[in-house]
Amino acid sequence: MFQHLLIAHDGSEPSRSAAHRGIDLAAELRAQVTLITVSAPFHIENLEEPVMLVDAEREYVKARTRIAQSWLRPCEKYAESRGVEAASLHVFDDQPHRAIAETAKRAGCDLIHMGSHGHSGMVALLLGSTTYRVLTHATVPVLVHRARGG
Amino acid sequence: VFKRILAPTDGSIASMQAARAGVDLARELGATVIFITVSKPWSVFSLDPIVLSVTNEKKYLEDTARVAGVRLQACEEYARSQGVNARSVHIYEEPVWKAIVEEARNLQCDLIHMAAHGRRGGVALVIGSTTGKVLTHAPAPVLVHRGEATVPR
Repeated sequence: MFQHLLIAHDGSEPSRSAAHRGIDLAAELRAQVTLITVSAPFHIENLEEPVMLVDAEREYVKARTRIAQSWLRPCEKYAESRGVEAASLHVFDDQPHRAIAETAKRAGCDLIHMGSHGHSGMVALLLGSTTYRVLTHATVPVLVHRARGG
Repeated sequence: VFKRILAPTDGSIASMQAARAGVDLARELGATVIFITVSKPWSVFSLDPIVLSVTNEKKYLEDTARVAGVRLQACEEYARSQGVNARSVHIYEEPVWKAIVEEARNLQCDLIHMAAHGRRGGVALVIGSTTGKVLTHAPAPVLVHRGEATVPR
């Protein structure tokens, strides 16, 4: 059965709750988990005055990393409390679905676990775009955890 | 975490593989599996070849029940071989996704376990229309299973 779950987390409440349920599932299956957060890479054209910000990229990476850690650490703690072996990854990629599908392949994960909506999920009846794209790109099963009230 | 798994099957290889994988997961979790097959209701005005191929309602119901029965029994037998508690339902409703969502709710299933696409899913990279609709309307988490069948990319 499933031995290694890849759990995607974008910091939103639905994805936090989905991550916890994924860890619960891993606990029951005695599987290990890898938690992943994907951030947009640094783009100089996103800045209004690039020349004034020589340290911008370094600052950006630092800030994103700090934010990602603030999402991933509590999940790692929760995994530890459930006796689940957990690792976490923070990846920079313009296309989160690609990073998730590729990481699943590279890390040998046999199940991708994610929420039906993350940050950009606005309409409760529709599937989030990242989730939908992961579903179309993944080569392993994907468990889509619905946000309550969705 | 999951105690009652709904496993829809339309008889396609992908859906039968998914049903077996659902049983394997249920075995690990000590869950019950409910297999479900949805057939189109009889209609004199139907344009569907399967419905049109028979001449009367009684015959249609008999045929579809027999086909669904064979399929569901195969699933139940696999579940039994794995020591997993299972039962099945065969219902007549259209559209199929709606029936799956409603039954998941009625039967209080906490996971829907299904293939990325069934009989009509031609392209491996997209999600079948029924699976897509179930994903957007499901009252419970949905595990989308990928078949082992290799598809040229």
